[in-house]
Amino acid sequence: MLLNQLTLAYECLSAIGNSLELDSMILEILSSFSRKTGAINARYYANKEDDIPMFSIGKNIAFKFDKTQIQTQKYLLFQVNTFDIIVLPLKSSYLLFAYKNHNDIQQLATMLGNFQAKINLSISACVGVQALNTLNDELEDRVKISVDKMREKDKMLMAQSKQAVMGEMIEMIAHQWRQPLTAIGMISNNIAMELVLDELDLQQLEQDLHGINMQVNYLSNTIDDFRNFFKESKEKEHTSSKSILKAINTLVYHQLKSQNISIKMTECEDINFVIYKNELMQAILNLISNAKDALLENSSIQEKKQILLSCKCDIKDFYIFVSDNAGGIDEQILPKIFDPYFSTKKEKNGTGLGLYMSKIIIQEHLDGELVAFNSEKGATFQIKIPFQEET
Amino acid sequence: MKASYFKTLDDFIQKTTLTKTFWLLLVAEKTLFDYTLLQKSQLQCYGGIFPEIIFEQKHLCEGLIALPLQLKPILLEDISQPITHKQTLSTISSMMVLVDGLSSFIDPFLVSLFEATNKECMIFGGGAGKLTLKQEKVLFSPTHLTQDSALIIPLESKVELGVSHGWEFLQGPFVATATKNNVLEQINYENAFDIYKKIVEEDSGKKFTDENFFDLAKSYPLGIVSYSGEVVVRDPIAKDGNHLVLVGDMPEHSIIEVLKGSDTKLIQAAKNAAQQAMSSNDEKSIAIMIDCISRVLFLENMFAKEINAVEEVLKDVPLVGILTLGEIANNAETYINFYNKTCVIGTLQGGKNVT
Repeated sequence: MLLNQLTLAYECLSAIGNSLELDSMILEILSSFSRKTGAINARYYANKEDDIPMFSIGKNIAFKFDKTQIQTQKYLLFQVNTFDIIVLPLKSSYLLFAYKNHNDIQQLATMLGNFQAKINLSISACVGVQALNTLNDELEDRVKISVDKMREKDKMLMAQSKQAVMGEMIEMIAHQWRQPLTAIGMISNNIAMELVLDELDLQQLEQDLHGINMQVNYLSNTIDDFRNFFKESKEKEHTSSKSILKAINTLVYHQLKSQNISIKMTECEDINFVIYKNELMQAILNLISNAKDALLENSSIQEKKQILLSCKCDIKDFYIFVSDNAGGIDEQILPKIFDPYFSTKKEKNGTGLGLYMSKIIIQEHLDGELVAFNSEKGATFQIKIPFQEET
Repeated sequence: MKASYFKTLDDFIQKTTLTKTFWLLLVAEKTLFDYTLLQKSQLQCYGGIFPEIIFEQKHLCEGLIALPLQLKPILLEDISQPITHKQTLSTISSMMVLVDGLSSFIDPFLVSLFEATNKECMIFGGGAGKLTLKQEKVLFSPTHLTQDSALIIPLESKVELGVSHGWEFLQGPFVATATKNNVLEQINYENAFDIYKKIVEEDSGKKFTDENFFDLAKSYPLGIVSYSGEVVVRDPIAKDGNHLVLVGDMPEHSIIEVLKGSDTKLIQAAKNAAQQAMSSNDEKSIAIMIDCISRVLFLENMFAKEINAVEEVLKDVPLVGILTLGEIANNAETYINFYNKTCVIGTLQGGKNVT
């Protein structure tokens, strides 16, 4: 008899916790326990208050019993009609086994009662895994929603930033057009004067018209330059370090000059590479604009206000430096300058997006890095871009 | 219930005129069985093909036993599917069940049958099939010849059951640490065949070869130990690599023993089964013996003595039987067991359902 009892205990214990899926684990317990112990019916009630079992296997028998005792007992053993019923209360649920003419029902009830802790543990494990799986599924959705939101936000910021840049651009265009417009005005005034005085010389007129044409071409090219800049780069372009810096210089030179800021470019190796050109230019223009604002804000600068563009390269990367002599950035705010909506600009209404967008463009679109540090006379921004050198 | 023996199917058809009666045909494997003859006849025949049949104290590998029935049998054509006749089955108070003995769906089917039948239903029966151990269409109704199926034969009479096998403990207990349905893969975390081979070769003094597996294994079945003390026998019929192929499922983590048989014990067991089936004083109309064919293969000529021993207990109660691939019995209080190498005897009370 001892072997039989040990056998039963071993076989029942082996049936507990073989699955981390609650339904199949419970069904295995019900099926194994009833087969091994000779139960005519085995049930699982998901809640202690439930009248309808979640699972029932074996003969379909109907009976009622007082469920109030389930809360406190390790097991319940009672008779209903001709059946011996063993109820095994669990943490929040319970198992029920019905027997007909079992020889050893008391001993069986004691044994099943001893499985309570292990079954509870196994159910907890299943519930834990279930919760984890649900959480994982939800997490995936939540991450997707957050990423979508971030993308949407980035788009919005990019648009805001472009608008801000556009304002700057209009100012640059105004500066760039002033001189040719003045020249055109002067030539046309001269022609008008000569016409009134009846001194119009056809050869001179031809020269004047040619001069006007040249200025108009210049204006037209300027419009093309700016229009190209505002085009979204959908594909990477073949370009070179010199052509980028030259284009930058063309765009900002007149504006900076009007504000008594000189822009200097150091000699650097002309590297050919493939890149989203306009994105890189937008980032550099943001840095130049930031340097210009710093120079304008700082009235204590003794020497000539200056922005320096320089570059270098190593085996893998191409570096562009934008430096100024505006005295540098307060070390305390240095870690925050790339945060969105962070601005120290007093006179002008800074959007706080210029540096943030430059960092996003360099990091996300160009796979590069943007860092800032203080040098001897001011701040330096370093753009590092891995280049695909043109072959 | 008056059972009749016919040498051939044709003979039965020629001599039978009761077209409105339901017939149970227990057909021996070597009988010339042309199912189309049954289809063409007007007879309402249900039944199965078995390795051998028992009639008038003889076990025969040819011929068929015909038993008239009052209630219409139900052929469950595909036991891999859930039972759809639950309403009908729940009204039956006792039944004989014949299943495809080589189906891999026997165990879930018996669980499902237990759930579908009522609290008092007595069930006994066995596995149909041939000694070739190749699965074939072995169960039939007037319209279908099927495999992976079961035939439910409702009985109006009260049934008394006796179950016994006589196989004795040789070595154990062991744990069936890895099983897959009817394949025993590991015993005590080692290859099942390695452990089994060692025990059998040591006891028998014979060696397993590529050809003699069943010859040696038929004398050394495995037993699943149960809480009630009953040992459910599992017959290793083949070797698959280092695994043992059994007739009937073996649940993982079962506690098992290696068993051994002797002529005397097996014959005595059949007698015990007959005594259990005859334990009440009710008048009996017929006894149906469901005995495993591997007991015949083990006892050989001595099997006649087993039938005689049963007849002695039954006295004037007529005995018919089938030698099966697996035996089925329950007493309505626990699950329906699928046995191997076991003798199941069902006696039917006086002739209420007999024409």
